[in-house]
Amino acid sequence: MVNVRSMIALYAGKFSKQVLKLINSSGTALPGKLALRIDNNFLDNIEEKCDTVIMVTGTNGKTTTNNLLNHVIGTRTDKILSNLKGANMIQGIATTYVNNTKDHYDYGIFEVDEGTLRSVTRYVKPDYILVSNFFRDQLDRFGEIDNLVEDVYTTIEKLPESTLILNVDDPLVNKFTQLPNKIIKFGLDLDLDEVQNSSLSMKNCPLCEGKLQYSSHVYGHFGNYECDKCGFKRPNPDFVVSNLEEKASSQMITIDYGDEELVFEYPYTGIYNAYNVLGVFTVCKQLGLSDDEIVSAMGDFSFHLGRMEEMEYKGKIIKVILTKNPIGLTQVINMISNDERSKTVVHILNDNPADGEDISWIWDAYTICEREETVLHYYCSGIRAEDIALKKKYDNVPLDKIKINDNFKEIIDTAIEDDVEIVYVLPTYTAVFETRDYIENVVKSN
Amino acid sequence: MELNIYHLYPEHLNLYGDLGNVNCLKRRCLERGIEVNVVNFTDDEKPDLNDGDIFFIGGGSDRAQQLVYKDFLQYKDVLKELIEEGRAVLAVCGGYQLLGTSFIDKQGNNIPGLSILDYESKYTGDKRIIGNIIIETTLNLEPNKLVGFENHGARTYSKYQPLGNVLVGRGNNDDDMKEGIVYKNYIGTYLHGPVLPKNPHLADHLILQALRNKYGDVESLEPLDDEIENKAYEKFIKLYGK
Repeated sequence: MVNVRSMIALYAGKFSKQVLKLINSSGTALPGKLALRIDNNFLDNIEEKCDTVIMVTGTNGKTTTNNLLNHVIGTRTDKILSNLKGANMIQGIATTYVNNTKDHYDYGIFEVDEGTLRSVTRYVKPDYILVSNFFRDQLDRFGEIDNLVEDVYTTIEKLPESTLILNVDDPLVNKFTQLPNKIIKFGLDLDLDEVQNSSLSMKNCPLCEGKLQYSSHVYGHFGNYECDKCGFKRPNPDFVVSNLEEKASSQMITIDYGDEELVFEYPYTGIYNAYNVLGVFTVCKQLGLSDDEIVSAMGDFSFHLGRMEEMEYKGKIIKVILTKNPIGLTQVINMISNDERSKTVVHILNDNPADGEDISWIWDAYTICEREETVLHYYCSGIRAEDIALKKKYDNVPLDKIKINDNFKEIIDTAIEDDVEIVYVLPTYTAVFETRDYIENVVKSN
Repeated sequence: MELNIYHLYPEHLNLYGDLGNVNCLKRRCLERGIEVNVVNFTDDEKPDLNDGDIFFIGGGSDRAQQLVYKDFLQYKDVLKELIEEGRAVLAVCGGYQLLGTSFIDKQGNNIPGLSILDYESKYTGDKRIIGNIIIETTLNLEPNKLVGFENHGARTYSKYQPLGNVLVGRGNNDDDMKEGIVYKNYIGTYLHGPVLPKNPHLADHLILQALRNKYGDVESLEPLDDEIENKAYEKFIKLYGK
C-alpha cells in the first residue's frame, strides 16, 4: 500500500540526510525526526517491510547484542534493517528506515531504549523481545528504576504475540515470566563470589516486600536468588552457561540447552559479554540457526563504535570502552583488573543530557584496579574531569597517579605516549564517538 | 577521639551514590587521626541509637522508603530526642522527606512521615524537579556556597531555618527559593552529588559539631589536602553558576 504522506516523509528524511552529509554531520536522529513530523505513523512502514522483527531492550549491552545479532544472522542474509549505531530512541529508529534501500527485509533488528519501547511498539509489533537487564542508569531521566521496569512491563502486556527472551539472572527481568507470552529464559549458572557492593545489589523481591536470598552470585543483582516471603525465585533457564573460562583476550564458554552441550571460544572478555553472547545464541536458536553457524560467526566478530574497540599505536593497544553507568564501569574495571599487562587508564566523564546530567552514578561504582602496580596513570578528563578524579581519590588511588585535564584531546595525546602495553580509554556516551574518531585520526596520521 | 557514624538502612536507602557521604565523613575523620566506627542500622540489626555521634539517612525508591517507614516507627522517638539534644544528623532527599510529617508515594498520594520534625513534603501535580543546584548556605561556612544535584517529585514546605537560599536550581518547592532545613544540628537537604565529598566544608561542619557534643570545646579541625575537592567545587560553580 502506497501512502502518500509516508512517501513524502521518507523523501524529506532522505533529503535532510543529504544536507547533513554536505555539512559533514552524521546526525542519526534528525532525518527520522523530520519524517515523523510529517507522518507520525511513519514507523508502520517497518513492520510492513520486515518479515521478522527482533527488539533488544534493557539497560546494558543493547548495542553490543544488536551488533552481534546482526553479525551472526548476517551470515544467512544481507536483508537486515537495523539501527547498528546505537540510535535507539524513536527518531533514531525512524532514521534507520529513512536510510533503508531495499524493498523487503528478512529481519528488522533494533535496539530500543527502555523508555522508548512503549512508543515504538505502538507502530512496530516485534516477534521477539530480548530483555537483558535493568540497572540504575540515568535516573534523572527516568525517575526511578521501579517506574522504568513497570513501564516496560505494562508495554509488553500489550504485546501478547511477542516471544520474550529473558535474562532470568536479573530478578527485575524474571518478573516478566509472569506474563502470558511465550517465554525463553537464559542465565549463567556461575558463582563468581565477587565482593557484593550493597548499592549495586537489589535485595528486595520485585513482587512482594520479601528479601531475596542469593545462593550464588554473578555480579550486581544477578545470581540464583529466592524470595524468603513469596517464593519468587530464579527459574531454571532454557539456555544456560554452565562454565566460563576467562582468558587474556578471549572466553571459553559452555552453553547447555535441551540435551545439548556446546563449548566454544570467542575473542572478547568481560562477564557481561557472556550475557550478550548467551542472549544472541538464544535468539538465533529461535530463528533456526545451527550451532555451527552461530559459533563460527561469533568467533570472527569484532567490536566497533567504541564498544571494546581496539586500535594500535606505536606497538601498544588502545582500547576504547563505553562506560555509562555504575555496573558497566565496575565490570569494565574488573576486566581491566584481570589484565596483567602494564597499562594506563583514561576516564572521560561528560554530563550532557544523553550521559545523564547527574554524575553521582560514579559513586556507585568501584574504580580502582587490582594489580595497582601495573597501572601507570589514571587520566581524568571530560566536562566533569575533576569529579571522576575525586572519586579516584576516594577509591584510594595514589594521588600521584591521577592526572586531571578537561580537554580530552590533550589528555589522549599524553596518555597514548605512556610507556605501557595497553591504554584503556573509558568515555561516557556523548564522549565515545568523538574520542574514538580522535584516536583513529591520531593512529592513522602516525 | 572517636566517632560513631550511624548509617540508617543502607540496604534500602542507597540511591544516587549517597553512600559517598558516609565514606566522606569517615575519611575526613581518619585523616585527622579521629577513630571512626561506621555502624549500619538495618532491618536485621538494631544497634543502640544513643551511641551514634553522626547519623546519615539517604533516599531510596518509593517502595524502599515505605519499608523503612514501617520498620523505623518504633525508633522514631529515640531519634527525635537525640535531635533535640543536638546530635549531628544529615538526611538527604527521601530520608529528608521521611523525617517530616508527610511525603508521597509513586502515585502521588500523600502518606504519613515519621513526624520527627514539623515540615511536610507533598504532591503538587507539578513536574519532578531535576537539575544542578547551587545554594548560599545559612550556616557559617567558608566558602558559603553548597553545590549538588536535586531530583525530587514532592515539594517540601517548612518554617525552619533553610539550609540555604537557592542561587541556581529550585530547592524545597516552587515558591520560596529555599533549600533544605537546619534544626539544631539536624540538616535535611535535597542535595545529591553526593553532597559531602563535593562540599567538604559541610562534612567538616558535621564532624566538628559531633566532636563538640562528645568532647566539649573543640576549637576547629585540622585542614586537609582538598586540592581535588576544591577543583571539583570550583568547576561546578564555573559550569553552572550564574
